[in-house]
Amino acid sequence: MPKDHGIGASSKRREDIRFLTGKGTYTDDMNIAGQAHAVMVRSTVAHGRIKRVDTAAAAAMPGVLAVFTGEDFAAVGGNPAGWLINSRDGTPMREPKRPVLAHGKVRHVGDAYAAVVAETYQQARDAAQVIADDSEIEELPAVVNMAAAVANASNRVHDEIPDNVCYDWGWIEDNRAKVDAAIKSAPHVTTLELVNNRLVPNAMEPRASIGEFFPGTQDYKLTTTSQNPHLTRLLVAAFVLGIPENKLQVVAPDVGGGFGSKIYHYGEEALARCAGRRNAASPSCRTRMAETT
Amino acid sequence: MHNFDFVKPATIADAVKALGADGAQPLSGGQTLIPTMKQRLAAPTVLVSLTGIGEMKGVCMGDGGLHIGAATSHAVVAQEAASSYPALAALAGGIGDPAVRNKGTIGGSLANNDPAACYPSAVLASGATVVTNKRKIAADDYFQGMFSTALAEGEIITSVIFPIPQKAAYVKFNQPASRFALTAVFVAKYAGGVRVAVTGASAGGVFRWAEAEAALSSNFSASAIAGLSADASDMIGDLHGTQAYRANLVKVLTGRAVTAAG
Amino acid sequence: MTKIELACDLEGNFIAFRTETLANVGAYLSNFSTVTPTFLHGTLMAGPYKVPNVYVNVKTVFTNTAPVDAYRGAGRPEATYSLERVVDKMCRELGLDPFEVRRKNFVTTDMFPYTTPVALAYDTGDYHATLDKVMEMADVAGFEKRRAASAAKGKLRGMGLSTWIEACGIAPSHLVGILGARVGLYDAATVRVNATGNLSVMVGAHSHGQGHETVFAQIVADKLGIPESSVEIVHGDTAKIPFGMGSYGSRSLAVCGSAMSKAVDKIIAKGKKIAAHMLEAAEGDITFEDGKFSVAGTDKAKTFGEIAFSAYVPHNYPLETLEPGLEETAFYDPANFTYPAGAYLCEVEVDEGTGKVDVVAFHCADDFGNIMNPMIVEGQVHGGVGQGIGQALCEFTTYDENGQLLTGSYMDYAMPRAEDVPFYNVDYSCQTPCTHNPLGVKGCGEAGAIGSPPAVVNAVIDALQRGGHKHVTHIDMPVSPSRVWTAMNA
Repeated sequence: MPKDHGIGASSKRREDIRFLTGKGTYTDDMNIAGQAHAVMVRSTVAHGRIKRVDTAAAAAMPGVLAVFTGEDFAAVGGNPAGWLINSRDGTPMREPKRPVLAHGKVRHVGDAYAAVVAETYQQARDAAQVIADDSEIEELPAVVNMAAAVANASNRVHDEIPDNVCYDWGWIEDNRAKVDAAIKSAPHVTTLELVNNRLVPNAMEPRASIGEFFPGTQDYKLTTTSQNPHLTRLLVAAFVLGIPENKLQVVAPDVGGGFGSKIYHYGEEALARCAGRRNAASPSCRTRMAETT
Repeated sequence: MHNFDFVKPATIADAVKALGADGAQPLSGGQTLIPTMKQRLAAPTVLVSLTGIGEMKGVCMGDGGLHIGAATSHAVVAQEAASSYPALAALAGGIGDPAVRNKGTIGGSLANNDPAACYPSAVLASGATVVTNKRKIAADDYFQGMFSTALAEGEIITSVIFPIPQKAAYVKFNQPASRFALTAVFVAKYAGGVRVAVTGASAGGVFRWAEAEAALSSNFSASAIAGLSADASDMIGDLHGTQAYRANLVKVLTGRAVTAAG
Repeated sequence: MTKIELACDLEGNFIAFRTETLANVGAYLSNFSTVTPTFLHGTLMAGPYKVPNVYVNVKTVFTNTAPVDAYRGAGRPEATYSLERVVDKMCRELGLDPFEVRRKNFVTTDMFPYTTPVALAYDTGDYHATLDKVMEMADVAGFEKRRAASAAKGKLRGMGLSTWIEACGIAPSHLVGILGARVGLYDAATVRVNATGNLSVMVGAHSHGQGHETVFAQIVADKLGIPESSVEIVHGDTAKIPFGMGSYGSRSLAVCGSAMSKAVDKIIAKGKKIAAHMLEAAEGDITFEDGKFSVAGTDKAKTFGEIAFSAYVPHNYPLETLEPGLEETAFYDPANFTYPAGAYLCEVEVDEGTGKVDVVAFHCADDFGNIMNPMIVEGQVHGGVGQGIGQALCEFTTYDENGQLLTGSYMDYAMPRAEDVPFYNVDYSCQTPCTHNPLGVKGCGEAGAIGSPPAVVNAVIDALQRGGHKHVTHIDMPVSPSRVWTAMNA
C-alpha cells in the first residue's frame, strides 16, 4: 500500500489550488497606490562607446518623474561575481565592474544605459525612446566569436582586459602531467569536439520588480522575482548600493519558475529600489523585464 | 502600442471609405498586425476592421468552384470546406493554434503574403481567383514576392474562388520555433494538368515548381519527380535551414503530397 | 566549445579523460557565472567511472553578448554531455557494447566512499543497479524488433544511453570558501509551534514551482505525527524567514530540508523536557511516537498539542530551567555534496527525407536516495527531461557576427512542445540514501536536464549509423532537422 500521508506519500500539491485557479500572487500582478513605472533604455548595438546621453527632453515629457543614467550609479558598487576563480598560474580572475546602468561603454545588445520613471508605463516607454533618439553611441566592432576574442587582443570587451579572458583554470593542475602521459601512451584515444549550445531560460513568469520607500521609517522594500531573497538583499544592500541590510526587506512572492535565471541579482532591481526613493510623490516604482537577451 | 482609432464597418463601401483616412490600415484577424503594433513597429492611426462585414464571410459552392469570403476565419474554412475541398480544409486546420485559427482570416493572410504562410500555396496551386472590391485577379498575377501583392492602395480582398481539383494535398514541414512553414507544398491535380505551389522556401515568396508540374501532369506519382531537383540558389538560407536543405524539402514534400493526394 | 579526449585500452577500460574548454560568460560576470564552468563542471568530469586520470582546462571568455549564467543543471549537463558523447563515440570506434563498457568502468558499491581524481568524494551509489533497471524498463532485448517496425514505416530507429552523476547541495562552506566562494552555502529553518498545536515553518529555500509547501509540510507532519494540514510553510520574505541561501542546485530538500528536520528534532527534544515535567518522569524515560510523548513502559502520555499548549500557557511548567514557548531554529551546513545518479535510455526515429527526429521513448532509472513525495519527484524528472530534450533538439541562442541576437523571440528560438516529447517512463526504486544528511535525500530537480541531452544525441547518431550513414559520428546540439539532414548528406 502506498502511503497516503507524510514522508513517502504522493500528497497533492497544495500550492496548485491557487496556481491553477488563477489566485497566485505574482509581482507583476501587484499594484501599489501611486506606483510609478520604470523603462530601461537599452543598447541596440553589441559594443559601443557612449558619447552622449541627453535626457533633458525626456525629463520634460508628460508624466516623467525621474531619469537615470550610468552617471548616477558611477559612485556605487557593481554587481559582483559570487565566486573568485584563480587561474592555473595562481593569479585571480579578471572581474570588471558590472554597473547598475552602463557607463562609458555598452557591451551587449540590451545593455541598459539609462532609465525613465514615469506615472504610466506608456509614458515611460515614450520617454525612453526619446532618450534613445537623443543619445549618441559610437559603434565598435563586436567581440562575438570566442576563438577570435582570445586571438585578437586589440578588440576588447573591457578595455582593461587585453585578451578577453576572465581566467584560465586547470582542475586539477597537479594531475596535468600524469594525464598527458597517460593519453600519450594509451592504446586508444577517442577525440570529440563539441559545442554546448547556449540556452535561454524560459520560466512562465518573466522578471519584474517593485521598489518601495517608506519615508517615515526610511525603510526600503523590494518585491522581486527571486529564487533567493536573502541573497538578493545581501547583494543589493551590501555590495551594490551600500545601505544597511536591516533597512531593506526583500520579498519574493509567488514566482512562476526560475530554472536558475532568478538566482541572480539584476541591475533593474537596484534601480527599482532607487527610483522608489527618488520620487517623493510616488514612493514606489515597478520595472518589468520581458526581453529575451 | 501607440493610440489609434478603431472602426468596424458593416459594408464593403463603408470600409473603403474608412480606409481613405490618413494612416488607416485594414485589420482582418490581426495575427500579424497586432503583434507588430505591440512592438511599436507599426503605428496606424486608424484600424478598419473587416470582420464585421457580413458579405465577406462564409464558405459556399458557386460559379467557378468554392467561394470563401475574405473575412472567414481559418477555423470556419477548416470545418466548412472539409467535404468540398478536403486538402484546403486540412491546410486551414493546420495554421497556427486554435486562437490563431479563430481570429486569422484567409483575406488577411493573402493580403499580408508572408513568405512562410500556408494559404498562398493553396491559392496558387488551385489557380484560384482573388476577388477584390474592384476586380478579379488570377492567382498567377496576384503574388508578387515577399509581402508584396497585386493589391492597390485601399483595395480590399472580398472573396477567393477555388476551382475544385480531382486530387490534392498539402504537406507542411514546420519551422521548429514559429511553426510557420519552413517549407510546404500544395499539389493539385486538375483535368488540365497538375499545379505545384511551394511556400516557405523562397525569398521571393510562394512559387510554382514548373518542372515538377510537367512531370506530374504526365505521371501523377512520387516517382515521376525522382530525377528532378529544385534550384537551391533561389531558396532561403537561415538558422533553421540551409538553401540546400530547403531545396531538398521542396522535392521530398512534393513527393509526399502527391502520395497523400492518392 | 569543448575538446574532450578519452584514453582507454582496446577492451574499453578507461585510462584518462582530458578536456579543453572555451566558455562564453558574455559581457559581464553574472553572480554564478564563474563557478558554473569550473567547480560545477570540472569536478564532475570523472562521471560515475573509476577512471584514474582526469584533467580539465577551462578558459572563460568575455564577449559582446548578454551575460551568461547557470541554468538547470549548471555545468553538470555540460560535463555529462561531453563524457557520455565521447564514451559513445569510443564504443563505436572500438566496436564495443556501450552497456558493457559502462558496466566495466563504473565505480562499484564496495568502493564507497570513493574519491575521484577531480576531488569529489562520492558517499554512496549503485550505478550498476540503475543501468540494469533502465535496460529492463526499456526492453533493450526487444530493440531490433522495434527497429524493424520503424523501418517498415520508412524511419531510422536508434537507441542512446547516458549514465550520469551530479553533485547537488553544493557545500560545505569551509571548503567552498577555500575554493573561492564569497558566500556560505548552508540553509536555515525556523519551526514555530503555535499555542494551539499547529505550526508555521519558516524556511530559507524558496519555492517557485517545486512544491516545497507540500513536501516540507509532509516531512514535519510525519516527524511530529500530526496532520499535514496543521503545517504551513512560509518562504520568500526576508522579514519573516531565517537567513537562508535560497533554491538552486537541487539543494532545497538536501540542505534546507535537513535544517528543518534538525529544527523539528529540537522541538521534540524540548517537548520531552516539558512532558517529563508534566508527567513527573525523568526526561530520559520519555519517548515520542505518533504525536505522543509517553513515559516508557507506562500508559502515561501527553499529546503533542497538550505539550504545545503548555509551552505557551506555562501554568504547569519548569520555568526555572526551561524557557516557555516552542520555537526552534536550525542552520545546516552539509558535510559534503549529495550525489544523485542514474541511467537514461532514449529511442528516436529519424525521418531520412527531412532529418526530423522524433523521441519515441524515454526511460529514466534514477537514484535520488530516499523519496519524500513520489509524484513530485516524477514531475521534476518529467520537467527536467523535457528541458533536456529541448536543448538536444530545439533550443539555440544565436547571435550574428555583429552581436545581434537572431533568436530574440519565439518566432526563432525553438521551445520544445508537447508533441516533441514522449510519455516518460520514470523509475526511482534504486535508492542508496545519502549517508550524511538526516533525511537521506539527494535532490532531483536538475537530474532530468543533466542526464537527457546525451541520451538523445547518442540515439540520433545510433539511428544514422544503423541506417548506413557511417560517416556521421557527431552532430552538435540542437540536433535540428536541418543539421541532421545536412550531416547525412555531407
